[in-house]
Amino acid sequence: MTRTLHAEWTKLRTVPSTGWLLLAAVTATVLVGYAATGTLDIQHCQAPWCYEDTTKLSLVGVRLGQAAIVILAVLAVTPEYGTKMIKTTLAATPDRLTVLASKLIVVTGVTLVAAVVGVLGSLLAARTVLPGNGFTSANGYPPLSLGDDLTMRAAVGTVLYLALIAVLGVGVGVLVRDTAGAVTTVLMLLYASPVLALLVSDPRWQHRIHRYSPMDAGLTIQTTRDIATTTHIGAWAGLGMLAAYAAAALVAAALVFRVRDA
Amino acid sequence: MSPTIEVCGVRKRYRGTVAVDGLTFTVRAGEVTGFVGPNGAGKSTTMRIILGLDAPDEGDALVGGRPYRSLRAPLTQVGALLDASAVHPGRKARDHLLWLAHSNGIARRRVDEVLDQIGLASAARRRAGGFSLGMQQRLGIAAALLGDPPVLMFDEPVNGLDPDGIVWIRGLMRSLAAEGRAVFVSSHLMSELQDTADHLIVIGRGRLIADTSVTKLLATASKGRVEVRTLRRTEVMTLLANAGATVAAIDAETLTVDGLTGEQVAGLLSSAGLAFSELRSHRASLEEAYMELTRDAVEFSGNGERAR
Amino acid sequence: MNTLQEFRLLLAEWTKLRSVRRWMITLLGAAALTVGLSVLAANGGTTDMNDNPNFVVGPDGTPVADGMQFVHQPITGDGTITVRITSLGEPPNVRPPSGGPEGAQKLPKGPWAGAGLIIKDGTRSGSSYAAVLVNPTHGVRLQSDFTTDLAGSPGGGPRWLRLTRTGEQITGYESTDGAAWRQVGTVTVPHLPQTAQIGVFVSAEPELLLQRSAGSTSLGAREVRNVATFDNLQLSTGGTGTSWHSDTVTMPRAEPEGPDGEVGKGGNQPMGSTKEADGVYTITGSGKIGPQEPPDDIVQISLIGVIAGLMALIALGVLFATSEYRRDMIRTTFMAAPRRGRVLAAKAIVLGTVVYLTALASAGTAFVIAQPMLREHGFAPPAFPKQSLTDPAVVRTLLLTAAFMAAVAVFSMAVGTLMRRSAPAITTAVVLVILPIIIGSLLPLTPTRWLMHITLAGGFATQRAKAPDATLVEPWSMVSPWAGIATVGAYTLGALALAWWQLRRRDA
Repeated sequence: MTRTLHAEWTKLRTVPSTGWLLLAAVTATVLVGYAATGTLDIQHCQAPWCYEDTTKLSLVGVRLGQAAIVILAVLAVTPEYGTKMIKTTLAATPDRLTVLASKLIVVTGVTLVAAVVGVLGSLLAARTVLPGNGFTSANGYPPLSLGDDLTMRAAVGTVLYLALIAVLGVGVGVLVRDTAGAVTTVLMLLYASPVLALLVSDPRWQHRIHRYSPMDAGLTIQTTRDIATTTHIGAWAGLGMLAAYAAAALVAAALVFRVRDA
Repeated sequence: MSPTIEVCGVRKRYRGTVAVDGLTFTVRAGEVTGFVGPNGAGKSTTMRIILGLDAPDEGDALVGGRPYRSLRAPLTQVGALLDASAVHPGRKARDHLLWLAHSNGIARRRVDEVLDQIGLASAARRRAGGFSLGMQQRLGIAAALLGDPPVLMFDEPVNGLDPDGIVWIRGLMRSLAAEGRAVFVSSHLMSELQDTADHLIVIGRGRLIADTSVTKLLATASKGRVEVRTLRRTEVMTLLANAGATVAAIDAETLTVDGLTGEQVAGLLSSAGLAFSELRSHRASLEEAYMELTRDAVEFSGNGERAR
Repeated sequence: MNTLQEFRLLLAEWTKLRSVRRWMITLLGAAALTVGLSVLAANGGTTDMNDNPNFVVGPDGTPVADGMQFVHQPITGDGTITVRITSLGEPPNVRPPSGGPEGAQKLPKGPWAGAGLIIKDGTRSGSSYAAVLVNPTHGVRLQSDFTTDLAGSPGGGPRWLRLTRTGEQITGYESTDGAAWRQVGTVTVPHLPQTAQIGVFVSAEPELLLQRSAGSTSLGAREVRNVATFDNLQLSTGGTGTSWHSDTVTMPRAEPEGPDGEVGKGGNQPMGSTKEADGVYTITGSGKIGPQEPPDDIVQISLIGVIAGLMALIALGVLFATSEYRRDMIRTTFMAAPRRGRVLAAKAIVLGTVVYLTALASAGTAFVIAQPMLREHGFAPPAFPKQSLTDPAVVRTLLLTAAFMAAVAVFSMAVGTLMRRSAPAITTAVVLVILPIIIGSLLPLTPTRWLMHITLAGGFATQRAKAPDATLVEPWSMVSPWAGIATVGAYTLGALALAWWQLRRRDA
């Protein structure tokens, strides 16, 4: 296992796209969060009618950053099929579950690192820009801090969210075996449902979509204000929903990977 | 148009590495012209430049007197096989040729003709992804022949072919040249061209080393060398070396002699009373001739490496 | 000769596209997703808008608003009424705003309220009418039956107004001095009975307050009043009585909408009042007289699947380009057709046309199947007038939606050509099309509108048959379909130009 892990780490490390994608994930997360909090203006949002969820907005960038993680996870798997390198890999390590587990650990590992950097960077950026827009303690917005339980929960939850996205990407990658197909599938799963929720007019259906779609459910944990009225699923239950998607993809991948000819 | 390829002072560098360095040569009609050089000598780059795929930094490459990019229906003037695997794996062989035909206004019927000619008719409706290397190669050649062009270019065409395939493709190239077409074929192994090429362009590190006919090249390489078979090797070697010749042993009974003619060798051995079973002028193989030609280039490369 | 060559390239690219079975399956998949998801959604959604209306039914069966303070008397046959408006505005000492968020944005008001002369089929809300009026911001208007709106001179200041009935024709005039009259226009009011009510009226459009914050959009409506003073009220001929009656035309009250719907719909509708002294009338009134369609757009609802179809089309467009770079197939392509710009153009034309036709067929199919289902689920007249395939708004929506889908596919192809690798190209296109919507629905109004104008997401506006509306949750509804398709077109052309420039520059 250690050797396979080392081999997978070497493969991931030596592909130039890995570094760029991790950089893109962090940059996208921080920049979009920075831009989103930068557009806020306290003049347009005053208590008690309006109460911006500054924590959630500062972490809005993961919705873009996750795209880079999806590519990273899929590219850890599918090119091996495209170039038939999978045969070399399986010749070196015939136990396929070890191969899958090693890939998973390596990809999730680098994702966790990028996620921690991205989340902390986003919170720091928001903390710097928000007071300038009037979101000060005096107006009811204390500076963002990990000392705040809900903000801490949002930060930890977002990091875990990105890790689960990586797991989902690896799982779908193994299942689909094709880069374009796998990337499209995962992105559609993540991005199409929130837009569908905007489109359907029936509140019951909106509720169901928010509840069962991986991105909306998984990112519910970012909400720190008006939790009762604006969320459709519990914070950890939402992350659990995404975990269920990731686990389903992974189990299917493991089964298929074991029995399929390389 | 005259069916020729003219390369004139072409220079191309990629990120500081010179791939082709002032190359000039002509490929004539009715001949198979071999394009030889070690791996990385710039053969593929030159072919891509001729085909307008890469732009040269300096110089011109003309096909029938015109730059490739200005040709209106290029496939009817030049047919080329660069990389036989460059086919979408999901596309049927026939569809691959069909879109090529459409792009140059070539009649649909020609597609089936070429498939027949190349021996792929039975696989025409199979997806190219499932083709063996040999079938892919045949499909690539079919694409090159599609426009019935007077100029043909093949980049390493025998790579990956089985012996039958190699014989087939040599025969094909000979017959294409016999029809009056210019056939330009690259290889990194001189031996592959031994029985095929009429003319040779030899390059090394992007520079022209030789532009010569095969007959002349062999003659040059064989010039003045004599082969002697004798059981008394040591005495013969001593005698001839004392007479000013360079002598080398090929095996226990055979020696090669440079610097003396056949008559001189015969005279010396007879007067010394040394018996020999055979005396003939040496016929160099193309490979030997090539090694001799490229020795300088290789040495140059060795020095170049050290200089860096 | 040139056109012949163009045609050859088109034929070649079409052969390439159709001969890869996977691409054809992707194309059909896009069509299936578009139709399937739309039908599924149409089957799942319901509305009770007709059971719990916030509108009345107008003379043509469409939902309208109709509220005002109306001082009137009957008139039979033709006649002319004249009045001078000496002042118009909100009443002084308005009560402090009882509802609506402090920091909310006030939405601009339309022309469908003010003070002026009206001839109406009785005092029932929603009946046929024609009116000439002064709107505080939009100036003099001649309006009829909640749909026709002709503009007169601008400005909300004092005016003389005159309304003349000749059979079905009603003509409006305005004047600054009561001597020199300028015709505003003539409208036809076919449903007006021989004996109608004629007089002066005052109305005021409710103030809409919009609040967008992370994750929710809240819309507050606040009733406001206008007060106007009139004198020189003269009814020339046909008047059957001499006394003026004052009535308040009112609308049914709507219950507040769902969870993230309206807040602080606020108080009871203020009643109007009329005071008269020495021929000077001071009238206070509220309400809007004009169209009042529910914001839900049943054409858009029947095209929900477009978003899913779009994802498949992005993959198709990218693969059509990037597959050329796998195994250096691009060399074969450029050997056959050395003029690279033309190859790119042929690719774009073939892909664009194929996708356009597929998208048009699937959007049309989705619309035709979904409409009856939606009607069954409450999206029926009067709140939602029946829409047919031949309505200009529907035709425009379907054509532009197909154009949007085709343009996104071509854009993806250009991005694929630029990036040469599938994964980043697909992600870039998906992110540019969809992410702005997700992020936009979390941001305040102004940055969101800005996002819709500068990203491909604005293209979703093509799915709306109704006019742009800033009060909806879906961010693209605040830009017009034409603005949306223009942005998408600009992106597509820009990406193609970049791809062209790079193809020429780059060695194959």
